[in-house]
Amino acid sequence: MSAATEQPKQTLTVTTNDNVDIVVEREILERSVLIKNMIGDVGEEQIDTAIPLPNVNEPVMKKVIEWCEHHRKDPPAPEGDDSDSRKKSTDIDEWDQKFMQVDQEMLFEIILAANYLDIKGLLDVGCKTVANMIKGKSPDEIRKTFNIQNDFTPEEEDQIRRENEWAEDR
Amino acid sequence: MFGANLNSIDAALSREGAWEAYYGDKEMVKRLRTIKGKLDPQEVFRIRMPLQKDNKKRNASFCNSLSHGFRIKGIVTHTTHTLSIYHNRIIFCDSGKTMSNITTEILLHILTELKRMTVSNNDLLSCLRVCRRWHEPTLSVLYGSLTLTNLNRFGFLESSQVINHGSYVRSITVRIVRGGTGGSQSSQTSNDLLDRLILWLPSLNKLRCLSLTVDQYVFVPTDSTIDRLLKALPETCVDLELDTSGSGHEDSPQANAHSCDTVRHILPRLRHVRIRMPEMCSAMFGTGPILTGGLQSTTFEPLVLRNLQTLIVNCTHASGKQIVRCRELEREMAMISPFPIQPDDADSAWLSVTQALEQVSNRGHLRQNAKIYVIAGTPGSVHDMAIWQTELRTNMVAKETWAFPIRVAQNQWHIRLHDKRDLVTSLDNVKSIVEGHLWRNIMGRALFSRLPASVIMAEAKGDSSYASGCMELPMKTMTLAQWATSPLRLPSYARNEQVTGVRLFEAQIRKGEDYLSARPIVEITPDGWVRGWANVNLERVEEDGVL
Repeated sequence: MSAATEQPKQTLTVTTNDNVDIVVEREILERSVLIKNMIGDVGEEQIDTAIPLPNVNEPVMKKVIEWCEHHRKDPPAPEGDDSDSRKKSTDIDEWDQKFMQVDQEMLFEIILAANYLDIKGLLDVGCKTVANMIKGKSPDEIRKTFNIQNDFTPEEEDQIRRENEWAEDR
Repeated sequence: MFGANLNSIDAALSREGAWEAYYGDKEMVKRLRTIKGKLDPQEVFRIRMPLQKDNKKRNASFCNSLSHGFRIKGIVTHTTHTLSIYHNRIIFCDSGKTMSNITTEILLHILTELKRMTVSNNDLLSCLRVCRRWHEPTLSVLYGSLTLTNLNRFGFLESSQVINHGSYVRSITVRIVRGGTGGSQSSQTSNDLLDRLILWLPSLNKLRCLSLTVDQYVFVPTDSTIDRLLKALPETCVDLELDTSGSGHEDSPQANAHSCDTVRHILPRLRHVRIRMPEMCSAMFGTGPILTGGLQSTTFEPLVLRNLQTLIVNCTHASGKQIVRCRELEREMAMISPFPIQPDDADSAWLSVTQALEQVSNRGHLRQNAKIYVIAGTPGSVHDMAIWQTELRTNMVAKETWAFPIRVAQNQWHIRLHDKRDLVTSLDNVKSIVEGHLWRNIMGRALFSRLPASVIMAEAKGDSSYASGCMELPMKTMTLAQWATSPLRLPSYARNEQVTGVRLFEAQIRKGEDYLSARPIVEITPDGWVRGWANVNLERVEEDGVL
């Protein structure tokens, strides 16, 4: 049927940086603002060619697609709406919490992929998960958690502490 | 990471090791032109370039100059340092697997989420000390919105290092509250705090919002202090709350400065404004003679307020008394009554302010949807409970006044709204409702900070705002049904309405000729009913007409 062929293509192929082709429903993939813009830019007739994602490997892309699939029905942020219904919440919903139970390497891969692909909801959840890991920890515990080298001298560190003492909760 | 996708051109160019591009690099543009002819649309290559944080415009123009002849669309918003080109388009790339690989932009995002999920600063204070890379992003989140009080002053504005962090500050809330030492010493502390703030303000080159509020019976800043404060406000600051009338009228010696004149000078650039000072008059909103109740002036020149989105002028003290018009001259002092009882008493600030704002509104050039509210109130009467304490919100653009009946019962404040609901809440919340809830409290430590409603609502929606990481402290109200869990908690007005089956009063909207009327709302007494002592309770008239 000619009518069917004129409809926008319903699936797209992405090529991850480990050279794996993944076929994904277009609607799901378009949660990525980067890909959505790219499609709009390239035009309908050219999207038969696989979209290269030089920054994302297959396991990470599969996780990203899993998240987009679960959140495909999420409403987009309303424009100019005064209602308080979509208040930014600090909680992470249960499904997302489970989704984010991955090793740290994967967690940061997801965050970076979400940032690169411009998927705001996923980036938010990722950043909240990391913020939760920081919460309640001393500087040293934070360094240990994320394997960060302390490049302050003890004197410098002490000075920072004293300077900002006023803001402390006692 | 790019191994599989690197094509021969990219590999060759990478080997040259000359891929550090600089702004306006003509050599780079030439190279890209040469490549363009050879490039297969599907091939990807990358270059390294120094993009600048927080400078999207310049980044975009940088990319444009580099990509001469390549198409770029809607992607140039990241601050990562590597970019690649696909289908003749530049796309950004970065790579990493640990915390050390994430960009500063993402680190800021994480720290902002951290700020959002805790009211305490302690987690951010820990982050400050983690490593050099974390230090600056954390400072910008920690100092982005500051709350200063006369209680936590010590160690803050005295630390020279902290003063240097001024460029991170986007909003400041200064709250003078009761507590600490009290008495004259508290006045000294408060003056000290304001003096240091005035010295600091001019260097806050990213400040967008200042809120200064003084609690009741604590301290009155002098006109000259307010004058210096407003003059020190940097040009970037467009939102201002100035609520300094906490202690009611005080006969402090007046300096030569007239605060209303200073307000008038900065008002044209402001966006969201809430103002309440110990004395106020028409000079805030135009030049010429000070407008008073009796005198209609034709020589008053009202301001043009093109930037204004919301303006609240509150003409009632926290104590409930009406604010007086400024005393222009020494000789006027004797003529002005210290406490006008009603908003429309000849010496009230309300008369002068509403007359001036009516002219501002008539002059036009206001933004669409600009809100200009003047607030006043009339007292109720303990001798006649049929008369309600009535709060007035006059909308100077629409030229109508919304009158809200309010009353305290069992230590809670009751307010009847225009949608016919009765709410039970604190006095502060009642006042905020009357003002249209245009300034909101923000979650914080012991003391909340304050921001314009539209700013915190944009932040809540995820739009960019200067209040990143700030969360609104929701207002706690109950409906009357939620409050009156037992008949004993039912206030007399509700009981009267229950027994008579009639709504005895409503919140009112006054329009036309009536729009500047300041009369209180009075309950009706239905036929067949009479009022008892102090008009509290309604009783049915007995058949023979005798109680």
